[in-house]
Amino acid sequence: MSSSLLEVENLSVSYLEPQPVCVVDRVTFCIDYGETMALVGESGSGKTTLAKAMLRLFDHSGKALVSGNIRLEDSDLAGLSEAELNKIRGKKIGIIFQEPLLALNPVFRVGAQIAETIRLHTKLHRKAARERALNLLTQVGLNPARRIYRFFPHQLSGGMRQRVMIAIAFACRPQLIIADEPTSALDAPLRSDLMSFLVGHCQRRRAALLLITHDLGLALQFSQKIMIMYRGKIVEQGSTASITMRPQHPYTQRLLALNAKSILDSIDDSYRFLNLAEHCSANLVSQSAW
Amino acid sequence: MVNYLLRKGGSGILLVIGLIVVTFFLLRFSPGNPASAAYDPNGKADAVAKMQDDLGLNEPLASQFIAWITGILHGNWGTSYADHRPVGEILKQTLPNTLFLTIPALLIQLFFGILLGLWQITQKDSFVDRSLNTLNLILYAIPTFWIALVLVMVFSQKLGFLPSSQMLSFSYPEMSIWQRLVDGLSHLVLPVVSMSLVSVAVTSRYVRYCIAEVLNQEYILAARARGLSEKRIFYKHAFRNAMVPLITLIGQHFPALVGSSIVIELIFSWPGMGRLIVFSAFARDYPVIIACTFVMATFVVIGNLLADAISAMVDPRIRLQSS
Repeated sequence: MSSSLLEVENLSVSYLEPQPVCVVDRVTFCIDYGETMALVGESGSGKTTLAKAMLRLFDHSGKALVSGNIRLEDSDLAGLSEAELNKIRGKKIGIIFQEPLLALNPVFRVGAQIAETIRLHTKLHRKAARERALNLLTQVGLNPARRIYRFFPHQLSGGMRQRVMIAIAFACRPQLIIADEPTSALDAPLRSDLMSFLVGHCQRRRAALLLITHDLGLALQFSQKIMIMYRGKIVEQGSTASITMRPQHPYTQRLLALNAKSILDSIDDSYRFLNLAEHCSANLVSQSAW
Repeated sequence: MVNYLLRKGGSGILLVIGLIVVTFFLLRFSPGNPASAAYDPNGKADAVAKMQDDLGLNEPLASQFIAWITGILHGNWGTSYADHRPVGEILKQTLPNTLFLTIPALLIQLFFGILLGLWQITQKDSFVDRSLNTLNLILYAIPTFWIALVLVMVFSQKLGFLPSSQMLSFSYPEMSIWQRLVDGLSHLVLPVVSMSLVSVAVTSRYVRYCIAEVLNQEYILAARARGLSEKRIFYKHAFRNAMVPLITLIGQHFPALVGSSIVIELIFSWPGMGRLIVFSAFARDYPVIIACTFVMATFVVIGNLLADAISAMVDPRIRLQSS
């Protein structure tokens, strides 16, 4: 048995309607305990589909065909029943969606939605679950927690809603957090704040993070490993350093060229800087050729 | 929330007042009058003229209106032109009969409509679901009076299971309590079924559609991703969200139920307000028509107000819009 937390092997997803189309094509990767991995790709490249397939959220629709192996610690998610899966969803894997206003149920108070998740996965009583939910709200920086607890999703700002989503995702101390474009719905100044907060929170809780984003700059800034997804395939993966220094795939090179400024911002080593500048100019040349 | 309801209630009261004032003038301007309706067209002209005079219909419209509105403000709805009893007394007799018909119809509509809709969504896209959808659409298109007539023909005339008219049998006073109950219920079956058949179809179709819509929302996916069971998602998260449009529909459908009670009461000779409206319209019985309009309008306003109140209770976003 290897030491990875999550191993995904040859995961493929095809949508059946209106015409069969392969959206995720034989994706293989693994995430170690406490690691931050970024999945970078343009919109429509299959990132979100991959995330949903990992939690087997397609089973209900019957409109997608999923194949491959997903192993979380000792359990093979692909072979579990629905009831067994429900013990992993939300408990061992927490997920944060792009648009928190859509992902929170509009007719229930946010506190109740956190407490519901807690009660579902632990044997805590109503009161204890409420206490823990209040605690979580404080931890994600929503104060005063007692007041926020009674708010409905529409009464909170975008950043606060996303913090509620983070609180729900962390409610049962999962080992893996999947964050699907967690900051895309937020205003630019909030993004960096929320990302640092999310990554810091993962590190404190020793949870691994799969950060799904279209923003390579964000990935470079916050993750240790990066996968580049293009048209349903992982075209390149490796440590952040190796991706920036030695991009192999033309798509990665183009992405890097477009993000040159944020790369420069994130790396301050002067040697790297020189090396990178060279790379970037080379990439810019190759991009125009590409 | 209280403010919101008070405002809605206030506009509802204004609406009802406006409606009966308009009805007053519409009746005066419409062709025919109570006196010519009461007498044979070939009869004596002076009798007609005398009755017109007695009823005060020869006076100027403005003074008629003032007399009428003063009466209303004193709680006096006038006397029926046709059977010379106070309007209040007539309504006291007929209104309970109508409620006796419409309330069971409404309850059946809600109960079976929601149940069928819920069941249908669990079978979504199956053969049963599709056939029920088609059946619903067919029922939706059939006029209520036709259903009533067919039901009478089959169950009353051909099979002789159920009575086809009146609320109670003529022998009712001599019956034992048990027989009375059976008699009352058996008279209720056909009218209630013909009233609620279409509305059950409408409701179940709507419930199915609303829940299907809600189940496609991202918060349902998010709830699944949190590990909530399908059952819990369905009954707690989806149902509550689907209830808001459903309540609005029922609030709006309530007037239609009142309207269909007119047709049903005529067909089944049900001594309720619907039949009263039709007969008073024929007799140009102005005070009764106005009073019935008032009662029906009040029901519609109350129905909508209730629907608004429940929606606001279920969906906090509605409360926000109101404040």
